[in-house]
Amino acid sequence: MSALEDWHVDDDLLAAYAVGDLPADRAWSVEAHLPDCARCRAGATRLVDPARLSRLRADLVAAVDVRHRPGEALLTRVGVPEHTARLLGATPALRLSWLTAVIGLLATAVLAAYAWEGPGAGLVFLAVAPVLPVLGVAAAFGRGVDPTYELTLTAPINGFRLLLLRTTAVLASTVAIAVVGACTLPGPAPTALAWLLPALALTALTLALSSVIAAPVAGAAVCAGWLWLVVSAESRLSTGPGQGGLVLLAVGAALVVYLRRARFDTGPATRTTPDPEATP
Amino acid sequence: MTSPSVAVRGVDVQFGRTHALRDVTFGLHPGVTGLLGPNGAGKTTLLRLLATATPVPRGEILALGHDASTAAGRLAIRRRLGYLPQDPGFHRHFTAFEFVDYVAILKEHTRRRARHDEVRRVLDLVGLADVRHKKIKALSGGMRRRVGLAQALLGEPALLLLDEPTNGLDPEQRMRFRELLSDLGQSRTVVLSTHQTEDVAAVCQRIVALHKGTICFTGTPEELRGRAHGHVWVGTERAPGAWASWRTGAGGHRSVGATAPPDGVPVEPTLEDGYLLLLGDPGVTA
Repeated sequence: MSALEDWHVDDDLLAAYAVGDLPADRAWSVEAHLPDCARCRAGATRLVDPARLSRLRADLVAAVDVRHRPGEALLTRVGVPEHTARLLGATPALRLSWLTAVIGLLATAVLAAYAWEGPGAGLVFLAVAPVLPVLGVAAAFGRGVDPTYELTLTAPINGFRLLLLRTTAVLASTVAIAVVGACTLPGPAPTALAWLLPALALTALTLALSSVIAAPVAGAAVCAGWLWLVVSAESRLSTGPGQGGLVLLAVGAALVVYLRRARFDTGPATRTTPDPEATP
Repeated sequence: MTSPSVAVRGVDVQFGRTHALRDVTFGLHPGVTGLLGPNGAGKTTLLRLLATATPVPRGEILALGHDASTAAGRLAIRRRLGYLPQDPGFHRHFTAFEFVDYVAILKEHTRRRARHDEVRRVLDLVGLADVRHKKIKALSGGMRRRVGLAQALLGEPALLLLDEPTNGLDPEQRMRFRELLSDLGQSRTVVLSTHQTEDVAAVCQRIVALHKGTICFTGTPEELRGRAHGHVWVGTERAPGAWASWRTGAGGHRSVGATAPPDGVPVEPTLEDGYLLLLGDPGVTA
């Protein structure tokens, strides 16, 4: 029998280990010894407080069960409550694939601006940037888009609050990416920010329309309308009346959303199955 | 009798020119009630109304003492509701644990430790504790169904609405489900929507049967079975005008209908016979 096998953790050291008072290096040394020594294991078992053991076990299980997804972890790090971060984790527009697509589209728009090199160089960016949050919002909430739509409707969480939460998250992530893209655009600074007001106005308009029609339809209609406007009246959008109109649209749409907030509380009464037997 | 935990009065639903529910009136009490009917009878429409997913267009629904036609009433019902939709839908990139955790947050369970304990409890109840870290997209259809059931059990709801819960479950899972349901039904009001009479015969104390949007029967499984007394025979030939007739494994024809076959011997009906007769000719049993 070697001297090492004769060695046992003394009582003071074991007591300090049992209450978690040992520095890490000494705790590791005790832990390396315990698997091979029944006598010291018995001593540790006697000294460990069962309540502490149960707390440690719960923490361990929680750490294994709840591995926060990368996006959720980022949100909690910037101060978003853990449960809100998980709610936002289900938003398609916050997923890596979506954000990658947004970055790709905006990068293409920026490259197009450099290739164009004329007075309308930022036109593609102006057309694309405002519709991205619209698409994100349209894909974030509603029948046919959110797979758990039915469960969300029948849960006590306030549907309107969830809608605003997801809209804010989509706007924050998309606008942040678009700001970076806009800063790399050629031309004067005002051109670089011309997309921001339409982005807010169109997002508000999409929400307002989605209180009447399905969100994807509302989003598609708003995007189509915006592209038409950019093509047919781009020069007027940057004028005073053009900007004023966008502000009015944003405020008006936001007001409609607020007034119709109860519409997000229940779903439309639609046929659930093809009904060959139902009586006309 | 005590007042029902759910009272449905004169509920009428139309989709365009199609009448999905016609003047539906019934009451539910604690225990398991089977909502029975063929596909397209209006079961899911009725369940979605009870679950407050859609507004009540005409008529009245009082659930757990609250009016489903007001926002405050719907919120109060939702706080004590467990609902498994026919097609619950999943965020497939979530694990089973993350998904049920997500629904728990929708159900206002915000305290993390207590919420995670509750998620583990319901996943354990449906036998999914071992696969809780698997992504939903990697689970089998039966396991997904059980994840759906687990989320419905969160918070020990007083009213549990289950739309075709045994679809996709194998016989053993089905048996486990029945065990679970019979325990749950002891203290709460459970509605089990199905077209499978075996599930109803196994666990339901009451039956509400729907046909073409109309209630065609309310009563106990024994009463529905009893209505087929004298209408089920086994003979060498099919009974004339039988609503249903099939050759059994033993070689005879089992017929359910109004008229006995020439050499038919009356046999003890099953719940399925009663149900078949109800669908075939409600006039026979009325």
